[in-house]
Amino acid sequence: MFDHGTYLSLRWQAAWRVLVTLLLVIVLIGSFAWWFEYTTMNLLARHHQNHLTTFYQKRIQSWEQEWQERSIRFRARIEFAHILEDSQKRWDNLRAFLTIVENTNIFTQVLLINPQGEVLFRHVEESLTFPEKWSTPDQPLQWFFDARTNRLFRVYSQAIFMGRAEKGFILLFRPLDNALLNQIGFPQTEMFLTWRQKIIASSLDGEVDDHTDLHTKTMYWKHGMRHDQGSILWSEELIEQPTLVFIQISVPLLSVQGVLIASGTVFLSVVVLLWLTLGLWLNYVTRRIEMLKNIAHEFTVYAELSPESATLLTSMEKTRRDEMGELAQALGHLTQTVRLNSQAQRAYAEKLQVRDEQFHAMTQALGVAILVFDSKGNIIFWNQKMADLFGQSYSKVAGQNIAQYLIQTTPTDNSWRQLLKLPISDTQTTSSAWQVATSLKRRDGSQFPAEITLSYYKNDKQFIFTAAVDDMTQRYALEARDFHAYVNRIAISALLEIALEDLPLQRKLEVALSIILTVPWLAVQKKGSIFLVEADGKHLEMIAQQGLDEHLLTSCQHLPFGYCLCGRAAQERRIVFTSHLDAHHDIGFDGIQDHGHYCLPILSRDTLLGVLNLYVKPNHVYNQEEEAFLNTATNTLAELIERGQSEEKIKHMAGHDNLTGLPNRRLLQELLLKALQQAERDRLLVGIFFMDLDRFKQVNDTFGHDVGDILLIQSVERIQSCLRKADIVARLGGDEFNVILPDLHHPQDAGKVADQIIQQLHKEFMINGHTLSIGVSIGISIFPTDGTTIDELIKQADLAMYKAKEAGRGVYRFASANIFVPEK
Amino acid sequence: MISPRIFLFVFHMACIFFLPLQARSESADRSPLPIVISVPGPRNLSYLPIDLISILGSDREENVEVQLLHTGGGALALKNLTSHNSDFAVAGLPAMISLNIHALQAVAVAAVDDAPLFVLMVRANLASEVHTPADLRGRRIGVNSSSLTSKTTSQQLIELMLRTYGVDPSEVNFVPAGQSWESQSSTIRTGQVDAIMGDEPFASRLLASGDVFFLANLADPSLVSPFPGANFLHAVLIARPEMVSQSSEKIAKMVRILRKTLQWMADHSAQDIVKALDLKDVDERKYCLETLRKYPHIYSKDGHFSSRQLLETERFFKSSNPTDPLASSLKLATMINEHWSGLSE
Repeated sequence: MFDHGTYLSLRWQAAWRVLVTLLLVIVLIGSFAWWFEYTTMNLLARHHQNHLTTFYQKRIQSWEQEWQERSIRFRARIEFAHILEDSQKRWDNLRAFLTIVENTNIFTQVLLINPQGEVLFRHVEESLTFPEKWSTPDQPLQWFFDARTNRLFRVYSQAIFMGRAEKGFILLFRPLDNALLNQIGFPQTEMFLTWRQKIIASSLDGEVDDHTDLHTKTMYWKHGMRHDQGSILWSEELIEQPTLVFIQISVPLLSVQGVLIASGTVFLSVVVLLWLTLGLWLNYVTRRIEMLKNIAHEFTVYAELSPESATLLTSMEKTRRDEMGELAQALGHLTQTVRLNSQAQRAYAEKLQVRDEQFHAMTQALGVAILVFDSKGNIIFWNQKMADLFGQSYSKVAGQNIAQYLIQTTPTDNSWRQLLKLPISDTQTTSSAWQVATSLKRRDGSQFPAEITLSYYKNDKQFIFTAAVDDMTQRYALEARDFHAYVNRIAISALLEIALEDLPLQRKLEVALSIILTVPWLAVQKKGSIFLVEADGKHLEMIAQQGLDEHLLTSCQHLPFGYCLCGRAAQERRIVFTSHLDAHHDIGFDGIQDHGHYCLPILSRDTLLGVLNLYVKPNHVYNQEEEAFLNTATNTLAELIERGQSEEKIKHMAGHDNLTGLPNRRLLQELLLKALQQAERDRLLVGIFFMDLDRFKQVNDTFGHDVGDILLIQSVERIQSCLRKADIVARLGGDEFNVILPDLHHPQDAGKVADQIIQQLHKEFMINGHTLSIGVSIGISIFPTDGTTIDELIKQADLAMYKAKEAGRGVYRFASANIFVPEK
Repeated sequence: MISPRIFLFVFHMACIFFLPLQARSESADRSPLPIVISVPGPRNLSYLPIDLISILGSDREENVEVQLLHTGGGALALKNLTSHNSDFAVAGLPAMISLNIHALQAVAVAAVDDAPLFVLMVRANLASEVHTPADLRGRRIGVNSSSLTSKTTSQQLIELMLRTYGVDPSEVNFVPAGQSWESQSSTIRTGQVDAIMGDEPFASRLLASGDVFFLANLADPSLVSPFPGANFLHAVLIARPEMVSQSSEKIAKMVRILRKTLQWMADHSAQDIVKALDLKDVDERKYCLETLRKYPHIYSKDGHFSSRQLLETERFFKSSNPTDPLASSLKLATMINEHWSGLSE
């Protein structure tokens, strides 16, 4: 009934109830009065309606009879006075007659018609609008409605004698008008005559309205009065009839005003009586209650009573021996008891406060961030260290849920509990503490790694958790730095190990590139390349690559210094970094994706050896740690490249002749072995030449070793000019040479080559102003015809060379006698 | 305390319920208001303004449709009024006084005429016998049709005239002669009456046709001896007393319509009036025009009453009803509606 938050005094509650009761009483009395009046009026109205119906039915019958008789008498008077018998004066006579009887005549319109229904005479001008012809002149009773004037007439037709056997009909029109209805009017009764649902006459003064004056209901209320409506048909004829509607108006026995005045009077009287009998007493009682309330309120607020209130309470206990006195006594005892309890509680609270302060001081002294929360995650303590860590004092976070400081947890589910590994139920209790490593977030959104050590205890109601929070940001940073250094060391070690491996330099660089690209903390894409400076010192050549697009393999194979990013790094000898595919990228192709670069020159002291080119993702941020590592890596690469290049040089020197640069005997054997193995696989022939320069010793002895050396070099050039690219020429020592011709299909092919060599060397040499003439003798062995091993084949060629010497020098001979050598 | 939501609901329901009623009443207001006037006639010169109302359309300007209920005399018009068959009646003021002499049943709200126009005419074949009204003793005299409750002005006039000439009214036989051409001419021509206290233009028409001769003409002092109240007010617009309080708007409209018609007649010639009447009968048109020209000042110009007219009428009524004690104490002012009379202007 009332809002629980709304204060309503006892006086008002009592007054409200009394008011409601009175209103209910008045409503009940009013309802009964209304029911009584309604029933009574219904009975009276029904009774009256029955009387009116009977009366009007008789009245109409009486009228009909009277008007019928009058019409007959009217016709008789005209006939008796021979008014119509003089055809010359009949209409003047009739008009004069009608004028004279006008004030006593009930028929306002008179027509005379012939048997065919045609109008012969009209008396009143209004009848000019009546029909010119009447279809049923001989019908004694008719109805005629004049729509122009909205008037209904009862028409009486009488056959009338007009002299000389002339016969006609006189039509007498009796209007059913307001005057007629007023003749039978009753007080408090309205009457209407309707024709085709339209009012044509009424007993009302003034205009009438079909809509407002006639109702479809037989009973309705209007202007505070009851209207009972009845109706009867005019006659029992089986033709269209007017209807007489009568409305009986009844004034209610009890008017609204009277009922209101009576109700008001009763209401006021009862109110006064109630006030005198109950109100004053209730006022006294509520005043005592109010005093008790004030005393209780004072005690509630101040926890003790003022001397005045204590005196008042004592007096109330003794004033009257009733329930209120007992209540005052009980309140006195209660205040005494509460006072004692309060003192005990205050002492206890002081103790608690001391302990609380001790606890705070202890947590401060620990230097550890301490957090205490309940089983619902609501924070109930957080020390200054926590406040420093999160930038919020305890007063700001008290009562908040711990979930909002944990990553990806919400207070509404158990995710924060799972994250902190809290026991799910009381049964999962454990006495030991546990640790959780997670990330925490501050209110400003910043996050930091933390290690939380949790423990709990259980009070009367729930678990209370204590958490020591350790910010792990610095520790993790140190660990990360150590990890990078460790990885770097491994990577550099790997690069160094690769440098020591017996592998070609290109392979070493490919492996080295893979090692650099697989350093885990290095934020580079798994693609890159290593360039080496070409012999001209102006270009770079891509030696190793990983993951490069096919377009780049072609476009970047040879780069001039200063072209594109790698060229710039080579020319400027400094690291080039870009985070996007910008204008410095001189090389591009359709579909190239955005990326950035680290391009580092590979320097050995001041000598540029090459460029290390690494790809980074777009928007990559330049990182000093990355640069430091890459510098170390390029330095290591420089060592690797220098070592590789030295190794290749030594390896070359071991297998080649110093003077001519041709493979020496040792390398020849390796090359010949490969050629033989290949020929065996391919089922082809290999030709082996054993050549000895003719007259070389004489030149050497005559013009010295310098000229002899030059002669050897120029001879080699002439020999090489006669060979295919795959053919190999090697110097065995002195003026002896071997030639290996792989992939021969016929032994004669070797002969042709030998013939060309002989011709070339037969030509004169011009060395240091000396014209020198030498020649060459060639012995040829064919694999596998002349042998299948290296030694056999060289030996057979050697023997064949001697055959050529013996044949006069300057010729060639096959080891096999079966091979024909054409004569010159 | 009714909550605002319940109040709004009730308000909306009331709007929904009452709006159609309002619309219906407005649509009903747009149709012309029918007003039935019962008046002697038709085409009686004294009541000609009433016949002209519909012809001129004065009623339609007020969104009214006037319907005329012609009677043979002012008394019958008053009977129609009191029996609620008409909203208004137009009749001679003396006839209205006669009706009200016992109880107030009608009040005059506007004047139609400004001068009485009655002619005492005698059948032509009696010219040798009748020379003065005194010679009418024992004869049948036609008057406007009276009723049981009201005596027409023409009967009061002839009675006064006869007394003036020493003839008691009981010595003659009064016969209703109507107030139209058909009724008055037929009663004369058929010999039903010897004389008629008749109206124009019927009298002039009968005179011209040789059926009658004039014995007295109220508009021609040379043909009538002076008598008290000779300039009494004849035709007036009459309403029921309760209408004044209950249907004042209807009366206001009717008075405005009548005033417009009277104003129009004052502003136009007799020929214009006859042309407006659109009379088919040549003789009727002729004598109507002739009498209108002959009596140019018979109509009120604004429908207002004058104290002089009322005084004359009171004197006339008292003179014509000397034996009636109620007539002597008559206060005509109580039968004139002050609001519409124009007496205060």
